[in-house]
Amino acid sequence: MNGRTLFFRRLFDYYKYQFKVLHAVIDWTVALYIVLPAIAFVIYQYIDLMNGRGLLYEWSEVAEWRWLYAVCVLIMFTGSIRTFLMEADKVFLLQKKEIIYQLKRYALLYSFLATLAKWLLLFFIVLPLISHSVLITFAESTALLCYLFGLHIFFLSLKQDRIRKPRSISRWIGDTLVRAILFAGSAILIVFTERHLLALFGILFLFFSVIRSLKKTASFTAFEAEVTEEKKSRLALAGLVMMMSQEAGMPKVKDRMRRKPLLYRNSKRIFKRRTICTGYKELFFKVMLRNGEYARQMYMLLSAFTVLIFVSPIWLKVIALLVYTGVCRYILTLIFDKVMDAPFLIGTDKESDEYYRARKSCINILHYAFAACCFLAAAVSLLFT
Amino acid sequence: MTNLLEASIEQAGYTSRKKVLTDVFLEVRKGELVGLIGANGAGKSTAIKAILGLSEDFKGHIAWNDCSFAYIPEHPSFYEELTLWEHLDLISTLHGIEESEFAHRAQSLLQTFSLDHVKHELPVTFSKGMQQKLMLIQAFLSKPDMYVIDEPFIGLDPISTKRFVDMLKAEKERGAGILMCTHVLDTAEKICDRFYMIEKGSLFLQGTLKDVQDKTGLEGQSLLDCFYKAVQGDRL
Repeated sequence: MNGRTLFFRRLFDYYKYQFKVLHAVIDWTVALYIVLPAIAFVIYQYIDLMNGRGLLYEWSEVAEWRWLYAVCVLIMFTGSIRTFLMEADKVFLLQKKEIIYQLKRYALLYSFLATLAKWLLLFFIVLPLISHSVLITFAESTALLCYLFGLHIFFLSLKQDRIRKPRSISRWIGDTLVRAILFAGSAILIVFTERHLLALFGILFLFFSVIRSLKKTASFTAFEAEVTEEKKSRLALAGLVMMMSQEAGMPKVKDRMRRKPLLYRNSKRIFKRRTICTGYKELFFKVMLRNGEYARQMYMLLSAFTVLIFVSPIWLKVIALLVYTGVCRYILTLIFDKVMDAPFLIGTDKESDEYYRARKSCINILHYAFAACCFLAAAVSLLFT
Repeated sequence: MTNLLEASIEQAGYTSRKKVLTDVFLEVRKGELVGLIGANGAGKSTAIKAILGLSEDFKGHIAWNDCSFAYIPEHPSFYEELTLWEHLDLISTLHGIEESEFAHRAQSLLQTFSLDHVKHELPVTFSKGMQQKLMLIQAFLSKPDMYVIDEPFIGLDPISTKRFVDMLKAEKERGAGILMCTHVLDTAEKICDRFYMIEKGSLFLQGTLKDVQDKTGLEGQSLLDCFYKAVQGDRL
């Protein structure tokens, strides 16, 4: 067995696992009644948009394709440099380092190709549509593609560095600043620079990142961090699916780096009063603040409904708003019960009035906050109607 | 002596594996340390789950006799989002322990188990032994009437094992009842007052060390020898 064979075997296993996850959620009835009609609707809207009519066209007239910047930024946040390493490799394969080198090099190439595929897909879908309203030549779009791909690979190589270092507020601020500067600089470059220069910057980013990543690939010092990241990537889709279930849950991938939380450091309390009720509330709010999965789940729900409210006519905005408030409360209730269901709380009284008071209060506070955000989005969207 | 726990398990198991345990009757009295002994897969953890009301398939009756209890699981279980100190604060708040009392007790326990320097860090990043110590500390913090302990020695360093055993003895002196499931029979022999031995999902031997020695015909021999003979005799 060599690294190439191992890579393809693990790649196959990876996609097989993701397929099983999707298959577990989308059985034939869901596929027949929800997924296929949804795909048909999207294709229909896409054709309408290309012919200069339909719901998306009207909306695009309002938004004037500026949303593409947002889509590009969102894509930049996706992906990682994969390694396809497994925990057991340190027992069975670490003696044969050449196999692991090969595996990681193939995984690196795969990560680059997967990133390129995302940008190609975006360009093939979007370019025919914007050609009506935006004057962009083939050479210009190729230069833009080259730049965005190079920048994305650069971001991935920064991410590769980040997993090797302990988290801290200063590092987080530094990372955010670097990203903000790069995004702002990129926007200026894209708008004001010649296509040759844009392509050159893209190639430079790509070249620099490839050299950095190849060096990291040859190193074994971050083996455990790489295994942890690999587990996270493998379980990402399954985790997303399981978030909606109270009974089922994904095993958490443990981060081995010793660290303190970013918010409420040194175990500072949120509530000054120390009662059973505030004890439960303190637990729930800290979990919500520090658990990225729950925060992402609420954020995704809010974003989806905000977009829906923005693009819908007024009567549909009201329905979307009502549905959101209901779904939001339901999900917050699920999360609260899931948090309190942990074995750590065995022996505490979860039938007491204090418990139910804390439950109601926690759910209400977040429910009102999220609903207010959605109301605000609805109010702002009315300005564009 | 007053019974703190009376467990009468007619049947306990899981949705996929029913009847892992049948006809197990056990009790724990005030100021008594009871060992639950058995081979891997014998049904010890299933018994503990049934006692805690966590069994998926359960028939029987568990009487706690109005006593508070703390549970130390085999696999450390905690919130990944809370620091070590926040865990202790949470558990003491929920048990109504005053803040000054909590701070004093928690600090003393953290020093005993050498975790003082990591109290504001997230336990998810700790070693298995350190996570196990968190489980011990949270249990001792609330000073309950009864302890249910599942394999407490795994991952503990020798110093912590000694301190843990000393604290168990002190809690016993205070009047707490302790039900401890373990494989470390030489330690169990020294500290337990009585034993329940489980094999293939049912109780096959119980009593003090003397009773066990008498029943197996191994007078003066170790608990390990008695257990080995009893299990082999049962299997042959």
